[in-house]
Amino acid sequence: MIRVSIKMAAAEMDKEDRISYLPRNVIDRILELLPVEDAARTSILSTKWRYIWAMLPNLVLDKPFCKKVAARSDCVFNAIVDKILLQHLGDVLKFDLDVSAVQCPDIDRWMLYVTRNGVKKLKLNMSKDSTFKVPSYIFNCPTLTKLKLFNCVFKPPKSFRGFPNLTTLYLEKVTFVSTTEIINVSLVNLTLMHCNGTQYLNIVSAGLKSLYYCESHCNLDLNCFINCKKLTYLYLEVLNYSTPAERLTLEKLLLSLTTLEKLTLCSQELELLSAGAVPKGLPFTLNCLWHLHLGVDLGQIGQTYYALELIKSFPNLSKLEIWVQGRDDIVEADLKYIDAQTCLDRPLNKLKDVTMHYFVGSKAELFFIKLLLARTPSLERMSIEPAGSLEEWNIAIELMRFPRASPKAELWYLTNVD
Amino acid sequence: MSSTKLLTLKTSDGEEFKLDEAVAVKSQAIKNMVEDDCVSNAIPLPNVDSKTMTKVIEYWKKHSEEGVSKDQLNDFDKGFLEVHHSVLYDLLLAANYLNDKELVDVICQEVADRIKGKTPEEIRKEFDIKNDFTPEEEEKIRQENAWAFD
Repeated sequence: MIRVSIKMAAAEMDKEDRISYLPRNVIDRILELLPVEDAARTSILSTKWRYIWAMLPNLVLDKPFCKKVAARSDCVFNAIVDKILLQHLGDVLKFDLDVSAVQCPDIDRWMLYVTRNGVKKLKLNMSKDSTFKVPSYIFNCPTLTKLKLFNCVFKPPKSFRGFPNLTTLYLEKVTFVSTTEIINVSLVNLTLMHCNGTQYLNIVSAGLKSLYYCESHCNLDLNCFINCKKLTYLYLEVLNYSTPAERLTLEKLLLSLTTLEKLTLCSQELELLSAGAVPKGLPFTLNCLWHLHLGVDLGQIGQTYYALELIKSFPNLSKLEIWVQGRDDIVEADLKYIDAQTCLDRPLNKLKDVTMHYFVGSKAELFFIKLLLARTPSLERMSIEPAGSLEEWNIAIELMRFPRASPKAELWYLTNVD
Repeated sequence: MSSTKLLTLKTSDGEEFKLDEAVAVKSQAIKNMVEDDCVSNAIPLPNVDSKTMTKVIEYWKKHSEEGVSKDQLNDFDKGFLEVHHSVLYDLLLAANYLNDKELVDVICQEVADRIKGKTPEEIRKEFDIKNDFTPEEEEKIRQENAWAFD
């Protein structure tokens, strides 16, 4: 109904072509948000639009587009990508290509083209079982600032020492096959997700600010990050630590990261760190750390204890997120330990925001929340995100009854979580 | 709690708008001015009129509200963008001038949605674009990018 009255009003407004005269950066953005064929078709609208798509600095050939075209045939797909690149005018500053649904794409040739035409941001998604070797043009590309690779084999040429201008490197399901050195002063963000052969990696990057490492086995030698004096964000999720020596390395690493602001560790890290006797107080205090995100198996008292010790080592902690891993509930004796609240002997003065993810309403979680509420005089918000549907009223009532050290603490029970 | 510092914005037609600094810095341009400390008087915005500024502030305020769900924001955005093209252009130019990338993206997406799926002739009609190609030129362009016109 609204559209009808707009159309009537439009008839009264001047018929003026304003869209063709919008600033170029705005028109480019509109074309980037269109499906590729729609964007290409704009070249026929008027002489003003003739070369706008051809000069678009950001070329995104996403999965739906590639899949649709490749469904006709691989030859047709290769021919069309050739055409798109050949008719392109000017530098390709960003090139995103998702060929995960394509059988035999002619990648090398296209990589050669974009690396010669000033590409700064490159993203390449190969298919799951691909054995595609990253070509030398990419390793030698001087203009690259951001590189994202999925499902490739990363084997640089012998002369490779690192990308000269790269600030972000994101590698997912990438395989390293031999010693690979990445000596890179400019690198700021490094993400390694589910890669193979990380034992071959040697990374020297003093300017690194963010490290995200998600892996099934800890093969990466974390020692190479010990000198990253600028690291502000660390995410570690390793499913399987194989040697106890890795515990010392992890502790040494945490000790060295004096500028760390945000830390994420999972229950496997806590399990490793808490193996054996946990000393009273940890050897490190990180003053800059304000955001802690922990995966904890609250059924394991060692992990809970270590989590509390960690929280105590960050005097400026203002945001805490806990996600509950593991299904076993805690034993009675350990519950008494948490309930006694001596495990958190001094209050957490700066903690303002706490979130419990995947909350199942176990005794351990309830006692943990009760402990936090009692020891956080500056708390502003405690959010509970349930894992599934629970007997919400009963849990909510129980939570509301816990005494709170902070008079202004709000309890948010979030039922509709995305 | 952040201090509620008010900023004054002055549009091209002389109207003044008072706004929380915390909300106004959604505009990178305003944020830069605040950081460079040149906001003692009203911030002049010669490229934005009061009608458009009112709408921009309406968007900023809604997107700064506490306790608004994603669904509610989506509904708000939908209604906010259900306007005639010329209003969208004014908003787009203002958002671009004020350097609010989020708002620019939201409006560009709306314009893109109005272009998506239409034939060139339909697009020309919708946006009042005059076709100044000869039939031969048009045919040539069609052939060059035949894959897009199939």
